[in-house]
Amino acid sequence: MSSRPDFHASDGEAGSVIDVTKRGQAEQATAKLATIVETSDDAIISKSKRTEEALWRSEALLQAELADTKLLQDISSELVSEGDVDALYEKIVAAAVTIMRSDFASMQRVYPERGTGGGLRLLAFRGFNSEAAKFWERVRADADCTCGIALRSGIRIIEPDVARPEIVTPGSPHHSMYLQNGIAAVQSTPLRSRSGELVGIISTCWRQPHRPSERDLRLLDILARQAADLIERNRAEQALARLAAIVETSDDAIISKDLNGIIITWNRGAERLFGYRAQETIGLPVTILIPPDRIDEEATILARIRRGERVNHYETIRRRKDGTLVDVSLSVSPVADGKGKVVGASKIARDISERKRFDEELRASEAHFRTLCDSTPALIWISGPSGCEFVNRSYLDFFGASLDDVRGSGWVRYVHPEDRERYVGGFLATTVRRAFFEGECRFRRADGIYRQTKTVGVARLSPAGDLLGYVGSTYDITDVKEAETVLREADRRKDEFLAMLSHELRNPLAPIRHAVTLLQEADDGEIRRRACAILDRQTEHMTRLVEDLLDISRISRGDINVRKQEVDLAAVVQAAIETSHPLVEARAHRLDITLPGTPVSVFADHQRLAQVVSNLLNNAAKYTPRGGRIGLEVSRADGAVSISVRDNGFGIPADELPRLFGMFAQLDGTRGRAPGGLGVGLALARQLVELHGGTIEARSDGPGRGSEFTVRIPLPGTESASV
Amino acid sequence: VTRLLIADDDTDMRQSMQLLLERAGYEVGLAGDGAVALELQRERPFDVLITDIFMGEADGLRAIENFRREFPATRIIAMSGGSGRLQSKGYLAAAGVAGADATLRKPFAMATLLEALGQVTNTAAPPSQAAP
Repeated sequence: MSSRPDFHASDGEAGSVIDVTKRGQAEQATAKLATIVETSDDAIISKSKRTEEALWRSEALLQAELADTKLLQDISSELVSEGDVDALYEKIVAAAVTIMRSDFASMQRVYPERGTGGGLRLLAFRGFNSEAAKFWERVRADADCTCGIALRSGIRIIEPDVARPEIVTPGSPHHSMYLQNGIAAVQSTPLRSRSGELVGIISTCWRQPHRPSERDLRLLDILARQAADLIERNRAEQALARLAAIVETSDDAIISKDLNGIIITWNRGAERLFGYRAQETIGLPVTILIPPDRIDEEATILARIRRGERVNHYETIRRRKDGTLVDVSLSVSPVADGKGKVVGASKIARDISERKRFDEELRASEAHFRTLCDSTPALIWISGPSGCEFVNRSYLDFFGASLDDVRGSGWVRYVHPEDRERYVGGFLATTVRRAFFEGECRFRRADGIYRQTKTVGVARLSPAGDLLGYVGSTYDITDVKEAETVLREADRRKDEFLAMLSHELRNPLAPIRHAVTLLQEADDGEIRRRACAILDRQTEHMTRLVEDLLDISRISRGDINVRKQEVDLAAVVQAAIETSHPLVEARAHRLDITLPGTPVSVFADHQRLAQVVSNLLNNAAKYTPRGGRIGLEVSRADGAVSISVRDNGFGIPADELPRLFGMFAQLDGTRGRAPGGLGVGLALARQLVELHGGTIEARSDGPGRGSEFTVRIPLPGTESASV
Repeated sequence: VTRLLIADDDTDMRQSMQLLLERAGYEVGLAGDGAVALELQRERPFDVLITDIFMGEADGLRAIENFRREFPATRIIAMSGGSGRLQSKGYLAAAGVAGADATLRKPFAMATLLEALGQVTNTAAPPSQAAP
């Protein structure tokens, strides 16, 4: 440890320097002492010996005080000139040892510098061995030592006899450490910044019990102020360096300007963004960055800054050194001097061209998606953990609903109540398995009609494989279903027709075979005659069937032709009656014919028109119980001729009327109808009538009430006058 | 003389069968449908009913049932060429279930019919077991 300065040792350069200042001060002190002596009431003479001693002592004290003051002054000036902070800490600790005449000294700073729960960190020390230094490297705020207590209490803590501590707990780790290091006395003094903040602790220790004098402590307080200043300065420098580093390394352009818009600082980000070097721009107006059409913006921004307002995230366009434009987001804040007066502005400019392009791409992508989604007739939907999240326009249009109506499980209300459990349950069960969903149900359309729909959906998974929901589409398959039904029905009727055809073609074979046997075996002329009649009738019947079959084939190929010429309707009717006569007679019907008084001519295919009338007569004969009445009436009305065939037969159920003229239509369940026929007579009749430009219709009051078929053939305009 | 009743809604079928069977020595009655057949049977029972199954509708099946119930001793031969709705096989099987002793598929040779007639008249089942 450094010993007390020897006031006799005033030789050498240091001494002579001290001399100059010391002498004046010493003279003043001596003068002061002299005054005391002079004005004393005590007997001076008797005390002259003591006085001399006192004088000697005060002279020594004075010398010491002068040395300490010099030390503090040196440190003060070094604080200003010296750049190495650690060296200054060392000097302060050394000065503390000198001033306090201690054997040890240490200086600690508070960490973290703001906030609670921190502690002390050693900055410099004297007298401690390395083990002790390590122990005191960090001291917790709750440590049971003088420095910890000083930190907590904010006042100086003195323990003059560590062996009999007054404040520190005996036997605590810190107390033991004092004893181990031979510390008999210790004091810790808080270091306070000019703002009063506690920034550190300076401690001194002695090998002997020791209570520092007021004078020593006063000098220590001066040193403490300097130490606090040093810590604060160091802290401010570090903060400044950090800020500078932040500004320099920022990707954003950070610029400051004065109230006239003149650039004052320009960071590296600004160099990168605008292409100007700092030295090119400082001192120039910031308007060099503004495109001409936006030059007014600067005045507006400056006006706001002068009012002390901030401009936040203002998106605009700026110009680079090379003239190219860049999308930027500006944040401009007023900068105030110490008295709060606005003196300029700091400006942060962020390059948002990348973001702008991304936004634009996103918008375009969204637009594409939406176009795609909304222009498809399929009902597209996306579901999430809480149900339906999105649907396309077709979906909303189909249900006449809003997104809110269908969101979540809102869509379920449109499922037919009978399908709900099966369909919704099926969907949920599928989502649990994350499987492909395929389901059909009836959905209520906006017009209230339930439509058959088919839905397919696939699981949406996150990149990590978590289920996000489903995406799917729903199709109205009602028409497909109906077409399917129609097709199936047509197919069924075709099968029936084939079965019936084979039956109808086989039926005549039995009597033909028997008639042939009779001809082979019988000599009897009468039997042979009757057998021939059977053969004649049955082959005729088969011929008609085959003719009908050929006609069916012609109809389905659209290959049926009529050769129209002027024909007498009475002759046509006569031919038809001749054809149908055997059947009418066999069923014992009575046939009444009504023709107009004057002959009627039509432009038609004689044979085909006769076939139409004959078909109607045959139908009437078949579908009327034996012994019925059939009426055939020809009349003229409204430029057309009508041929109607009426019977008092089985009639036609109302629900059969629409399909009566379809191919292979045969009434079921009519007992007692005549057998035979392929069920194509009316289909053929309609086809033939239409080829004549006419119409055919059926009417019946219902089962058992007879029926009436009416054919209308238009009379040609030229003929209607002549006939 | 064995008396036969032919029920068929096709006149030529009835006539041709009548001519052939009379030549074979049977006495033949004719009916155009099941109802007429039953009336004739009640007037003077025939030994064998030869009936078509399709007369209009499946009238023949009803006729078979009625004959079985009312005239258990009468033998029954059912014949069919099938219909638009079902193949003859199905209906002939149905006729068997209804109580026909033999079935013939139209068209058939005279020899086939005579053979069937011979069988049903020679192997008359006891009336009590004839009921369906």
